[in-house]
Amino acid sequence: MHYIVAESLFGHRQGSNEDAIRVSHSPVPMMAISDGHGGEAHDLSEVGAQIAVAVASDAMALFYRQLSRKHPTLHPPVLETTGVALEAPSVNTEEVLPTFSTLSSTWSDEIVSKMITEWHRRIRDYSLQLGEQHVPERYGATLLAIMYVAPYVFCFQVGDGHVGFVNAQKEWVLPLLKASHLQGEETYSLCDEHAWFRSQTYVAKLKNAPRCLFACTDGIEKAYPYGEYDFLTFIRKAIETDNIKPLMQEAVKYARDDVTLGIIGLEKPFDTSDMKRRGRPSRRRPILEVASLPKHASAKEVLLADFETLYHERWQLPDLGAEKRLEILLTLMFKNKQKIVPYSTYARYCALHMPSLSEEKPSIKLNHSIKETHLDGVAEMNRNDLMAKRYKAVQLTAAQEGYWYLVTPRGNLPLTAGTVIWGYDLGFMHSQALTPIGMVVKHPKEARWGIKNLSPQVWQATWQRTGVHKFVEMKGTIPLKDNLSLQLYGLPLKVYWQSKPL
Amino acid sequence: MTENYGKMGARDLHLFFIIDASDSMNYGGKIETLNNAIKEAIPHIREVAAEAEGTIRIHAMTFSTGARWLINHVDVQQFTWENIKPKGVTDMGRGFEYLSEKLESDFDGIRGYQPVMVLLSDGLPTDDYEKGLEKLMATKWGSKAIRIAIAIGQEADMDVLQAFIGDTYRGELKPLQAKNASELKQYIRWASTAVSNASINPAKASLPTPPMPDEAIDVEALDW
Repeated sequence: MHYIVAESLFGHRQGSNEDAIRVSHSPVPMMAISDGHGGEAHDLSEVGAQIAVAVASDAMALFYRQLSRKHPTLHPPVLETTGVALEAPSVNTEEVLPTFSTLSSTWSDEIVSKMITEWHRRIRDYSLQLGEQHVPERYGATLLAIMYVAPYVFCFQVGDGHVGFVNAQKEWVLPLLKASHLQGEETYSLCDEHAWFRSQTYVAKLKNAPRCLFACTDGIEKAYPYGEYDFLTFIRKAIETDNIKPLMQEAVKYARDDVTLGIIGLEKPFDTSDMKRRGRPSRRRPILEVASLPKHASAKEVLLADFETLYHERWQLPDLGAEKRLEILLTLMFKNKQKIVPYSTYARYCALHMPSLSEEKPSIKLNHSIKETHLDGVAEMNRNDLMAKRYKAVQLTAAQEGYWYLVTPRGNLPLTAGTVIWGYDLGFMHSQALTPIGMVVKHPKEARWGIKNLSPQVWQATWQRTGVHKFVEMKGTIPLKDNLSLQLYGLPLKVYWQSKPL
Repeated sequence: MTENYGKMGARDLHLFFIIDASDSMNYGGKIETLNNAIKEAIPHIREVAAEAEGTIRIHAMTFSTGARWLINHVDVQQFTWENIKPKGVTDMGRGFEYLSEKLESDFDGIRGYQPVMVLLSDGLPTDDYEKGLEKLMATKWGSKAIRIAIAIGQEADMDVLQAFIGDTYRGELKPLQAKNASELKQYIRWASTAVSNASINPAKASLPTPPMPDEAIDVEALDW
């Protein structure tokens, strides 16, 4: 039995339904739900929500087309379409199937950022058509999306609500966590300046097709005050019942909010002629089609671009790789908040000369160009003479010194004074990429250096030569030693000393 | 509460008063003003409750030498206030600990409007308040609550009250200092009504500003 539930009910006392939903079973099951924030500050959030589900559906359809073109063996979970069994898809034995990491990073880096960028582009064009000043907050909305391309399930979420699936073992899987530090009705939003970094994604390879995919706005959650996961009762009832209307009406009554639920039921064989449709999709407004924007600027141009332009228009940068985006975001982050950036961080991401440990680099003011941040430009920077002399001295001795490196999944990370080991260095993507994991610090009294644990995880350190183990708790420091093995988040890393820069 | 698992229902707003009942509250008529202020606020809280789908549930605890609950889970419609009689030292840390124990046992998994906690104190904690506060912040409800602090008089430790407020409204809130009876009444009414209303009708985390002290009041007569 296959079915689709796509129901959205208006729940406020005034205004209009600010939720939007799009559900599709063809070519693959996919669903997008958006919850407009509503209120005076978000007076166009209904439009924002409609645009959000439209761009998400388009991006997912495009993703599937790209996948199916490159990898014909990846197919939708449709074994029969008209009751007549189809021939098994021909398998090209020479075809290289996408690796899980490729799929995962494509989904997180390309498709999701495409959704967000496209959303920003369309709301801006909508503002242009209205002839009003563009204020993204007016369109504030959340976005949840899920699609299944056998054997992979892809999820995405910005803001509150829930998205998940029921696996073949009848287990409810809610793969994306709620942002626990947000208070009250606060939520992340597509209109946030850093929506991409605040979004969550999930990709999993499933042994068997899930029984159903589901997504709902937080309205349903609000109707269940007695238990954190009681809202799953609602989804279960929605699957079982033939008439979802009374359930929705009851939820709306208690939630005082718009309530939207989407479910796609799929079990093998997935027969569309046998599909039972429950509820009806919400009435959709035509989405404004607009001309494409000019191609995005190159990374170099972006780095040198006017800050406002960067911040409001081009920060998403979908055409760039993850590393470059991270570099730019770091630049923006430091520039925005502190107006300074640690030299080691800046130099690393801008591929500049990496100083050795004894060179204690002060932070760099970002109003200097990249060239000036090079060691050669020390004298031109805002430092006193003493510091300049010291740097020259260091420069002379640098050749005789060695360099510390940390071998990470992303390559050799030079360890210099104040180097921060980011989640990105361990291979973490997405919002985890900007999580500081550790930092190179100097001993308060002696001329020794160590890595301070900035993460909540306990590290395990082993000195290869002596075989001594040590556990490093949060805020603890492990001294730098050649051939030091570290276990961080289960990843084996190694510190070593090299007499010449790599 | 377990009988309600899996059932739909209206969310309640939980309003917590955490009140200093140490000896010093006896001086200058502070405790009498506080008792009266809460009594006067009751009808206004009931008006706010009409806005919620559920109701407003009042919880009140005092801390002095140790801590104790005065009322728990009382629907504002049935809420009456028993006058507090202060006695003992200022075990604020124990008060926080006691509250955190209650939150962990009775509120686990419960969803409501963003809870409101109002701390009223006139002096310095005599115990390790940081330890108690840490426990309170470790609870889901404690960390998510809108935490308001009102200093009664000039001698309250504002740093302690600020620590209690913490990151409420992104750390923008400051402790309110009631320098006389009139201000204390205004602040208690604001904390229990305007803040509760902000919780029920959140407009993207905005909070109405607290009332400005009325300069026309004869401060000398009421000054602590």
